[in-house]
Amino acid sequence: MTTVLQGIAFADAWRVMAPEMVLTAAGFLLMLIDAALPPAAKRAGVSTGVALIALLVAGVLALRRFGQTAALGPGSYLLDDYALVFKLLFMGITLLILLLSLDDHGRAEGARGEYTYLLLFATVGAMVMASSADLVTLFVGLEILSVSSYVLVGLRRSSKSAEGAMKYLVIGAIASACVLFGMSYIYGVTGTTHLAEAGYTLFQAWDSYRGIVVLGLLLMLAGFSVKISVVPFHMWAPDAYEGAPTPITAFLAAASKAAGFAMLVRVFLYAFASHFPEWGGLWVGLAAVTMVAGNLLAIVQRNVKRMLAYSSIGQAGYLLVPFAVLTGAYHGGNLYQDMSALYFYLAAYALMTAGAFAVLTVVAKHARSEDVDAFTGLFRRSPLLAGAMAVFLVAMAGMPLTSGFAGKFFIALGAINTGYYWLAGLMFLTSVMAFAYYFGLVRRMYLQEPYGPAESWRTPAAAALVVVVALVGTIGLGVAPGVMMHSLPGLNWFGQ
Amino acid sequence: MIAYAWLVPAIPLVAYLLLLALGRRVHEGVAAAIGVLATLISLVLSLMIFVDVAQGGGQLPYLWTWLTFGPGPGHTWQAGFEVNSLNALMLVVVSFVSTLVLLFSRGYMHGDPRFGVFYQYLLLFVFSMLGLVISPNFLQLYVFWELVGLCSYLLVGFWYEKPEAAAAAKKSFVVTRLGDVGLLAGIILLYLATGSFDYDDIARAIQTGGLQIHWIGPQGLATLGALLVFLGAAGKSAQFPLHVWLPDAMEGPTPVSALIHAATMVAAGVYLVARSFALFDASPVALDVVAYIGGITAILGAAIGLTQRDIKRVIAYSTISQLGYMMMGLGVAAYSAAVFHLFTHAFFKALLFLAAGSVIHAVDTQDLGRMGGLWRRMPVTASTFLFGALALSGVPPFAGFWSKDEILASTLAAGRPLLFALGMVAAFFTAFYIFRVFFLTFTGRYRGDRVPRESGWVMTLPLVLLALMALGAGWAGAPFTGYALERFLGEPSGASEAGAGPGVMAISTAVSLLGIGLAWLMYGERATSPEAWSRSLWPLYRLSFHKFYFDELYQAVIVRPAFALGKAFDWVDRRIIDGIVRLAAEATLAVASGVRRIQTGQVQTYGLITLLGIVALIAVSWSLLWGVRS
Repeated sequence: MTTVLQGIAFADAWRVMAPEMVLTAAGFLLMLIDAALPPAAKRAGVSTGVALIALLVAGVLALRRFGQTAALGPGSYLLDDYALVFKLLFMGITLLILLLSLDDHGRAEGARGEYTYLLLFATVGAMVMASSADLVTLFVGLEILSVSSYVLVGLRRSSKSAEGAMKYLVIGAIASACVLFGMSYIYGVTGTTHLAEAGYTLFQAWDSYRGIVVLGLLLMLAGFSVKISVVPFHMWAPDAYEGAPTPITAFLAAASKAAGFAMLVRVFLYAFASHFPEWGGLWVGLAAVTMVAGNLLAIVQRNVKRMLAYSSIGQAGYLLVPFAVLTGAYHGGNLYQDMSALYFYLAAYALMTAGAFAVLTVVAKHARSEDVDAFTGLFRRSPLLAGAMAVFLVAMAGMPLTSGFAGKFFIALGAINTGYYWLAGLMFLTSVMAFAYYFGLVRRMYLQEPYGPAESWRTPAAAALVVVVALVGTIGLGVAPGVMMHSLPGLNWFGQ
Repeated sequence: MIAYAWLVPAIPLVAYLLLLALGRRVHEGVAAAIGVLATLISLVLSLMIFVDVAQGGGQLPYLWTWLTFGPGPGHTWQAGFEVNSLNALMLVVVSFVSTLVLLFSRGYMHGDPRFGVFYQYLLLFVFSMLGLVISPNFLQLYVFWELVGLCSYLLVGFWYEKPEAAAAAKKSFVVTRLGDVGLLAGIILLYLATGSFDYDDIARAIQTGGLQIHWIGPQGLATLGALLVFLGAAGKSAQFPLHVWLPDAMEGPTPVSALIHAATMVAAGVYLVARSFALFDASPVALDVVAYIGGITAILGAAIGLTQRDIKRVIAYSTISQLGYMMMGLGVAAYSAAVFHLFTHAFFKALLFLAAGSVIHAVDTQDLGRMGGLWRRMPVTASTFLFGALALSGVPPFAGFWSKDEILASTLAAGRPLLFALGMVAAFFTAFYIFRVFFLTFTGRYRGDRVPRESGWVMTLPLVLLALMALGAGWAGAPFTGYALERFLGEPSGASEAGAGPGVMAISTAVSLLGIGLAWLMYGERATSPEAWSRSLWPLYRLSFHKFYFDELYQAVIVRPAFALGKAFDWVDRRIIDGIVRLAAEATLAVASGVRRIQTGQVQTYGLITLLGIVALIAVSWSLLWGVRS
């Protein structure tokens, strides 16, 4: 391990991790700008501009690498299409979040510079997680993302924000401890931190060290589950979501969760695939519990952010299904089909989440409240926002002709193909529950008169852009899912 | 040009969206200009496509994959468009009639508060109908099939404040839905059996016998599938016994009747049977059903048309009857004769409706008893109506003569003298009822109270153009042009054709002249009293006047029992199902509020739950890995 770092040439590093390097450099540049420039109002614009340009450059660099495979070190940091699609997703989400934050000046004025570069660092952390095939780099990525997120959640100057950040930090620390503890067992059994090598050794060590391997695996699983807010490790999510600045909530719900899935799939496919069928039932159970609990709890929420938080917990349950059926029936499942279904739904979910939170940002700013009452009669105040929100909500619930339906359809199809009929049935059942609370909000927006004077609400241009992008994506992927679904299975996923 | 055929429906769609964006307060002239322009562009494109097809033949469908949900072609659904000789012809007919109807509506709907909305609906319909025509498979066809049904519903109920219009809209929707259920079931059945929605793939699969379901053989599948598809076609094309909605649909504005309920949508059923002719051809039973249903519909519609007093209803029954002819033609495998009749009928029936609309616009009533003597006051309307009537009666050299004769000759050639006789009697009735309308409307003394005036050019120009088509459209398939249209269409395998010989031509001309003569004696010359005839033949007259009591029969046999059943289900639903649902909802809420208690807000609790979660995971894994295995 010690000799590895010495052998890395810059050209190799650039080839594998150019987007990460660009974003990191941009982050440091922003730190310098933040220190050098006087605290003028322009600063926010400058830093956002630099960040947007960095994201676009990094995105182009990532696009140019598709189809290539390379590795840094003895395969601890990988360049493959699996990492690239996730990186594109993270960068796309961050781009939308930055746009969405543009009109948030008044809220976090003193913290503008750090807001932007922390967001960039968080993105880099997520990207490192997607590329890592080594427990050490993986953990570094996880911590970069987590620590940046803790600060971001606490940026709003309110006690709720501090409370959310505190809870997120404590539970996050427990999760990190669990992950490290679990990793140490795996390292102890296999003598390596490299995932593929560990997987090979574990295949042989399974019979003699089964207890310790399973314990290590479960501890890592618990830690990851906190990141993707799987029940019963979801407790931090509603509080942190409620306290965080709304764009950051969207980032947590979309990018952070996607990063968790990227890491989860990589680790379990590489290291523990050999004995999937023996414990795959565990995932199926987690998916089922998460779907039911998330959707059930969303019904009784009155704060829209909390409702969306619980709904995102439910969505995590749906997202677990493709992986669960893959692990449950490893030899019967179709890896690429399931990966495509997972990624499709992640992308669709990220778009509708970004859109819904964009609407929420605008509404909350005008109404000075995040309660469901703020949405009452929204149709009269702003037909665009009400219409867009309705589309996002029914997409989350899974209405046909939206991306939410197409995504759920592909996931359910994967479950049915591997014989998990009851899991597919449960998906439909929880979708029905989801319709209950989403339609409650839609009804409020359309059928009730607004409280107070019915003045019309203006949507800032940047937020409107986010809403339109999300709207086009949500409906486009719903009407023609094939556009994306056909190209995904043909990717060079893991460099085979 | 064929590669751009998707533009033909796309342009009316764009116009529809444009009008939608402009809102309902748009100026009448602007709405009409956008509508007419869009359909005119579609017409020009259709004509260019038609010329291309005439020169180079049809093309393979342009397809792209819409949805893949598994391996193999059976799990990939495709969307796209297709141009062949049949639907190239349909494109021209639909866009031509649409253009004229949209122009006509500028005058007819003038002053209506929802003028803009009317054009929106019309354009949506034109888009849907053109999309239906170029659909390359059953699945896509079904989508547009339902869209045209929706537009028909919206337009029949356009004056929804009139209770009759609202009821008629509902009736037309529900009755055609009955057929649609059959169509959908047929599509699903054929898909399950053959793994394809494509017309030709299905026919090929049936011929080669490679079916994926085992409870039915190829022959049975062809029969069952064809009959289910025909059920949909019968609903749309108002065939017996699902014909009852079409006369009621006359509550809609008259341009709608001309476009949707005469020229285009109701012909969609005939088009569907023609398009999937290979499927029907595989089943003699299904073809026989089509032939006899068509024959019965032809005579039934004509018989009811004899006695109706509402000008639009007479023409509506005439449409039913003519659609029956087309089905009859398809049933005896006279493919191109049926399509030929569809082609000519679209023009002269749209003409009759629009001319009737012009009359209604002038006298503000649809009651034949309050018209009369309009020949002098509305010369253009009257003479164009006469052209339409002559074409419908089948008087040479007008359009209807050539196409109807071909169908009649084909029934004889197929060895079905009964169908031939039915067709001949219906032809006699047809000539009689349409000239009864003509004489009652345009000759004699004016019996209304409003002073009628000839309509403006936006209404008479479409009439004149359609009158020219009513005269000349039939020549495209006449013997003296060498059956040009039939050669253009080409014969699908299995279709048989028989040109009308001089014998059939002479008989049918004589029959129609006889009908016209009788109408003239009764209503023109008044040499014999129609009242006396109806008194002496009173059972038949009553039967015809009350439309063979179909509405009453359905009311007693279907509607009332259905309502009773509905009441029973309603009780079960309210008392039992709703109770269960409410219980489930209450239970869900109770569980949710119970679980919410755990979310105390105390971070210590969260940590504890996390720990308990890990313990639970370990316990579950333990039982999975070391537990008792059964």
